[in-house]
Amino acid sequence: MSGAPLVEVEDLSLHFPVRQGLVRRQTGTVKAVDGVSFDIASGETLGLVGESGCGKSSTGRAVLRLARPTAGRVRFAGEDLGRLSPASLRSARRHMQMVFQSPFASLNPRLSVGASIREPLDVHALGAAGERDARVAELLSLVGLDPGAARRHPHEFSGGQRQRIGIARALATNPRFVVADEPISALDVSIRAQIVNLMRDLKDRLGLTYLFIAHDLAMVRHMSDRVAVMYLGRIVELASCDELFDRPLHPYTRALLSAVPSPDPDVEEGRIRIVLQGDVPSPADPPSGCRFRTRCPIATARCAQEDPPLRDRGSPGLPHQVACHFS
Amino acid sequence: MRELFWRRFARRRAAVLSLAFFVVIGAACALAPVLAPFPFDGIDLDSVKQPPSLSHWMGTDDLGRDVFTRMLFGGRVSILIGLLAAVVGTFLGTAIGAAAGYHGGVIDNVLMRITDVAYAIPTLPLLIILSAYSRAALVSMVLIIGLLSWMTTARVVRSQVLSIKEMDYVEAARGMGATDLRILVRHIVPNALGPILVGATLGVGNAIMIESSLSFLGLGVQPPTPTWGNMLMDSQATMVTKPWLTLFPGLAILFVVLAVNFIGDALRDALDPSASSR
Repeated sequence: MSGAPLVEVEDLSLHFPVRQGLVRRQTGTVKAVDGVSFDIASGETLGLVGESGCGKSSTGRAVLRLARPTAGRVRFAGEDLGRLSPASLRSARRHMQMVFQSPFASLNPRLSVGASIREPLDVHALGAAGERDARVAELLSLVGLDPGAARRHPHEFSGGQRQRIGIARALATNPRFVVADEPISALDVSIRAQIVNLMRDLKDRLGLTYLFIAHDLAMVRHMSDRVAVMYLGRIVELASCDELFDRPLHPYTRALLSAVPSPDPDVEEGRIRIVLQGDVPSPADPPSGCRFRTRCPIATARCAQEDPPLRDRGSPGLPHQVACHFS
Repeated sequence: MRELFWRRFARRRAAVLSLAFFVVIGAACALAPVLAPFPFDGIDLDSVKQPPSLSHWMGTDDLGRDVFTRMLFGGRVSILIGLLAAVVGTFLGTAIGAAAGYHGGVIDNVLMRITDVAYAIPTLPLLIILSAYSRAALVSMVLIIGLLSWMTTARVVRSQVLSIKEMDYVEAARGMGATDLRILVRHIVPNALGPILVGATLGVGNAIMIESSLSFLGLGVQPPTPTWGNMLMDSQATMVTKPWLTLFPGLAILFVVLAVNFIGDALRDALDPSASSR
């Protein structure tokens, strides 16, 4: 955690029109991301957690401008990505890469592993053509694979190995910022820790900055410096990792944390599980006021009328942002 | 993947036979100058209209030219036109379908409506008009047939591209800063290759048929260069009295087109990823 923010996200929204009927009339809007703001300092890891469908992945894609945000701004190293021409955006992508959720879908089955990892180098014309294969070998050993793997095809590898290949590809251009979109949720439990530790290790060695998207709270705690909790397109709580896990303020965060089993039998004994009622409302028709009120154990009439803003409720020097009237 | 493909393909006995047949015929025609016992325009007025015999395996025509020789040379032209026209049509269809599917929106709409219009025009009358106004050379035949047979490929490719462009590896390519052209050529089209290949194979048969039809109408490649189509036309008047003049080119067209279609069908089944490996 040092220096000016590398990534500044301001009031980011990503809406999808819902069209129906023969003439494809727009009948509604899915607000996948609705007014999200956060900063990520250079060298920091920001964890982003939430249930499926809460907009975490959409946020990640909008930050990298893989999806065009409906509103809001993303600044990378001080530069507004929305104002870049298509060509300068393409060359800026060198510094910000993505690791995908499914290692089975994220590698082109027709390209050899070496060709996949080499492609970013070809795209940005990094290094002489002859040196790129050496760089590929270097990247493969960096992620713990045999350099001979370059000649083989993705289908010859396991999920964990493929995720390593995906990471090697993301790191090929020496990016400063990596968005990891649930990089472990498609993997076997037994190899998740390997991949997470690899990513931590690479971060320390290469000075990376991560936006780490996940729904596994234990992994997020292990990875992150700060954590943002998302619910239905909004950030409801954002604080440093220890602060958030030790002193959760938002009722949603409390419910999430109460679902994590503890390895300590004494603690596990006293764990009170907060079970949320009902389903996540549709992001096409979110509740009025506070979006969490329909499932919130402490909601009052006020919550249906007033939308609680994200406010700092932390102590001096220890910011803790939360969006709830009663925290 | 490759072994699985061959195993599935080999299960279709008709297709394997067809492939062997097509290769043999293709090779024989390609080697016509070496294999043919006579020159293709070698007129021999002493032995006109002879039925098949040991010296003339498929008989001679009304100018005494050896039918077997002309079959070989004619196949050269017919198969070459078939292959090249299929290449032209496939290339065009792939480009148009990929552009439409990848860009979507207005571009998609415009390109697909053009495809619909091209589909709706009856091919044969248009072909007749076009070839009547162009020099009936091999190149123009290839272009005309190719320009009129890209629509199916365009539609198939478009639908493939629509699903492939949502894959994570395409997003990854975009995320690394690749240009649209690079994404299309390197990531999308190679993964749609199966259906493209099937379309191309079926296109070969189709192009051979069209070439034969045009030659039969006297609008194809002009004599004395033989094609299976114009050999059929020449034999019209003597179909009953000299059946060998009609039978051999007719059968050649029939079997080659049939073989190509069998190959195409088997390719479609073997390349279909949704079919189980049974």
